[in-house]
Amino acid sequence: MTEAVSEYVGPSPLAGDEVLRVDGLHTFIQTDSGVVRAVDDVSFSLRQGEILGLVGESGSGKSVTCRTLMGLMPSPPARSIGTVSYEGFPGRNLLDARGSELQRLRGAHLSMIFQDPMSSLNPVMRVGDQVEEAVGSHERLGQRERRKRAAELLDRVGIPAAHRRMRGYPHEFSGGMRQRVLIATAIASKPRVLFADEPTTALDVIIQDQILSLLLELQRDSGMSMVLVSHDLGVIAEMCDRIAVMYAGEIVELSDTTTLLTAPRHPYTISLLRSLPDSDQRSRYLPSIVGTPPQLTDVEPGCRFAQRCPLMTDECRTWTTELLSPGEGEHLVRCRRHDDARRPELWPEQSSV
Amino acid sequence: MARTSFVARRILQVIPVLFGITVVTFFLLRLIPGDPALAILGEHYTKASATQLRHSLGLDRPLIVQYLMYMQHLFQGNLGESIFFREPARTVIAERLPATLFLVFYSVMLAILISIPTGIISALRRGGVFDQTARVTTLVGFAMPGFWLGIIFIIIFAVHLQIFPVNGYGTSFWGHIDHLFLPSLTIAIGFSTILIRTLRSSTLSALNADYVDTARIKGISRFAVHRRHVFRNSVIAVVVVFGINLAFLIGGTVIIENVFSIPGVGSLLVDSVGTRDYPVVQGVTLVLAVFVVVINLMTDLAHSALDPRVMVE
Amino acid sequence: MSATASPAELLYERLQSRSHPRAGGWARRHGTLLVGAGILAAIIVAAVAAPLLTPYNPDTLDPLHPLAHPLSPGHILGTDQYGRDILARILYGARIDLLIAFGATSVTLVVGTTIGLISGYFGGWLDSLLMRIVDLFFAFPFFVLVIAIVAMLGPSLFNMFIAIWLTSWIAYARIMRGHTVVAKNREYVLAAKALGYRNHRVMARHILPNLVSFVLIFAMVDAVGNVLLGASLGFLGLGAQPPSPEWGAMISDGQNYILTSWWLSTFPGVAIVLVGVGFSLLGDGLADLLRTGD
Repeated sequence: MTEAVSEYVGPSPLAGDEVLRVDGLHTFIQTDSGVVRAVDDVSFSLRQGEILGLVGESGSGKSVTCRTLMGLMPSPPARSIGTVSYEGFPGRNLLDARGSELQRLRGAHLSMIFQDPMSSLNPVMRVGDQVEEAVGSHERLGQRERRKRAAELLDRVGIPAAHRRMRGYPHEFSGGMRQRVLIATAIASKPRVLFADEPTTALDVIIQDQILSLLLELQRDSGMSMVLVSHDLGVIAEMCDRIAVMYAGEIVELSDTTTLLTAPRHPYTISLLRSLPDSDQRSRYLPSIVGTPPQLTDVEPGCRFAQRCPLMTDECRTWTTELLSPGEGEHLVRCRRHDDARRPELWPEQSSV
Repeated sequence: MARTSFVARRILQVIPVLFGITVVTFFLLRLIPGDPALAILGEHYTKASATQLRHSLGLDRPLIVQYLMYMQHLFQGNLGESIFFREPARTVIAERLPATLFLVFYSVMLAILISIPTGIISALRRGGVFDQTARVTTLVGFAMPGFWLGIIFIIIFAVHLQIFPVNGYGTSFWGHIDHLFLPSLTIAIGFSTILIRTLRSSTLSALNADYVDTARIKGISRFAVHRRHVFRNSVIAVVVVFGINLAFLIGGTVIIENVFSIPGVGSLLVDSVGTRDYPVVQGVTLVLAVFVVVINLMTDLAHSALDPRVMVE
Repeated sequence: MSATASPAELLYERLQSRSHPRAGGWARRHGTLLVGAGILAAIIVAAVAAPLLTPYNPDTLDPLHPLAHPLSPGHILGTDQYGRDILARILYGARIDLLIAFGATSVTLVVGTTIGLISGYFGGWLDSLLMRIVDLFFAFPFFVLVIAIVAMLGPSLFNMFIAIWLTSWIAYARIMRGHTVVAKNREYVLAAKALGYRNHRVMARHILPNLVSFVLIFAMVDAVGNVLLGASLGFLGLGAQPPSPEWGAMISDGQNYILTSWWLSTFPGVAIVLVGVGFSLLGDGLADLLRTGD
């Protein structure tokens, strides 16, 4: 469970159709090599029925963000602070939820699916029992009713012959099937918000498609909101209404999908997009971004992307970063040169490396 | 269906091992340097009786024939004749077996009682006082000779505090419980050091497992997460280790029986070394080995019952 | 720096001050290993330097001072029923018990590892045969088998060594074989073979170095086991024979006097535990070293 300190006496109420609002979330993790600033000043909101994408490379903080919100970060090494308002926990900071409150919220309000289906199911428990466990966690149901609902759920997520296969053990299922089971488990108590942490990364491409379609279907049917985490821009682009790009623990750009893909303003986002394979390209090589992200244990002031940024100037290194709004709609960028970033002539030639 | 074929396969696999055991025990006698007849007869050695003995033991026949004779005797339940007791070895051993079995069973119960809570609490409160104490204690306990611990227990509890009898087996069921408490505790402590370490480590792994996160986000109680997911998995590792180390436990009973003067097969074994009662030595070795094989089989089956992945081989 | 740092930064500062990066140098990080090695080194030195550390011989009888209490003049640890100095017996006994620890372990280690390596590498009928033998030996309670062998050969320290050598190599063979089977399909081995290296070279120079650490860690545990085994047999009179100052035999000797002269059996026991703890810590330290990638 996360240990947190609220910033305000009580979080401000949610606007209109907001389901979840995260304000200034920080997660620090104590390790042998120092304190890791895994999530640094992350703010975003999630609306009713929308899919928000969190995209970034490994270590950017996208998983830790979701885990913090679910209360899954083990508290001695990890500590979080910030204000999180959730409609199902009115007037309280979600980070303060403990014990039975947290139990009430998990499953029926907030749910999550994880990256590796191979290890996310209890290997010595029947699959049906694990789904039933989710079904029965928030409602008092008889055995027969639980079994029935579990079978229906499995059927809904595309497990053939659900009644029979329920008796099986996880190792008897393929990766894609297991992920379906996990999805069934996650939506069993009809959550309002689903965090999907790289749900397709460990699966083959064909199965990926199926799983993503399934998620989309389920989301449309139930109206739940989803936070989809991935390092794959393609997946994010397909599924999400809005996208938040994360780098080194911070959100560096946040916008609706179309704007982000057609008119990105952060040099990191732009570099990411430029490194995607494009059929027009004449060069045989894909440009990649030079360098690596900074160590999150000794973070220096200034822009964290500066070292690798083609538009970097000296001021970038000392600038206390904040999210700026270029003015068009709800677009936020953490770059002081975001206007210049829109000018292609300032960018170096696509280098072939 | 898969399960019955698995069980059948496992049982069949035991048979060659049992045969192998007979081969090893057979060869034990052949280790005796010099003339076995001399060794066996000792002071009663006369040329005539030596020749007679050699003939009756089949020592004048080819090795294969000797082995077949040995096997034939085994199938008839004949373990040879005890030189010291002048009785069939089988009778002597059978008389002493119950005490050892009681001791082993008692030790296992105590070991489980000690290890499971300790291992689990150590893992759940990792780094805490309990954990650190447990780790130091298991470290020292592992290096401690059982017989030494036994002696210390006798001094403290039997002689000074007079809570338990000093030695022996007792004559009734509760008498056994009383007399065998200290020796079983001694064995259990040694055995527990391994079990605790394993359980602690497997519980820590289980606590960090992905499937435990999946369980947590369902909104079930922490207790339910631990019981249904963490412990179900971590205890399996202990079952496996238990089987492997059982042989070690049996070895421990031999010396403890000696320290506490318990009339079991272990002390019989040690005494028989002194009296050069070779058939008994051989017989006890055989019986204990078979016992270990049977227990290992049962542990294997228990393991497969707990972990369905085992049958997929 | 603004005077009012945000609560987040305050939390960060607090956490930073609390977590001390373990940069205490090599020594601090490998404490377990060093303590274990230190204990063993101390005991080895004490054993070797025994004549320098005590004026007595372990067998010198002193009928004038039997059962002297510890800290009596001239006898720090007291004397036994024959007036033999306990400290001297422990120091010279260390030679025997250390000999058991190293002598029994090293031979079984070398033999077992070699057999396991060959068996795992070549596979085939040789491997199957070996695995059958391994399974077979594991059916026997090890201690019982050793006693039985010693019974046949005749109780003596040397016969005890033979019994251990005959039976203990199995565990090493099994471990080594298991690791070899995995290793031989790894790229670095396939590469070596593709380069045309002869089998024995692949085994010795490529596979073995990577697996040595696993075997060594097990050897530490085995060493503790051998010390306890030697002491147990000594206790039973089946290993080291009187008047040998082997620690197990000493404990047995002191049994009859345990009520009044506790030191006869206690100090040898402490010595055994010390050696055992030394090896265990050394093994744990090695395991840690292995895990954090050398």
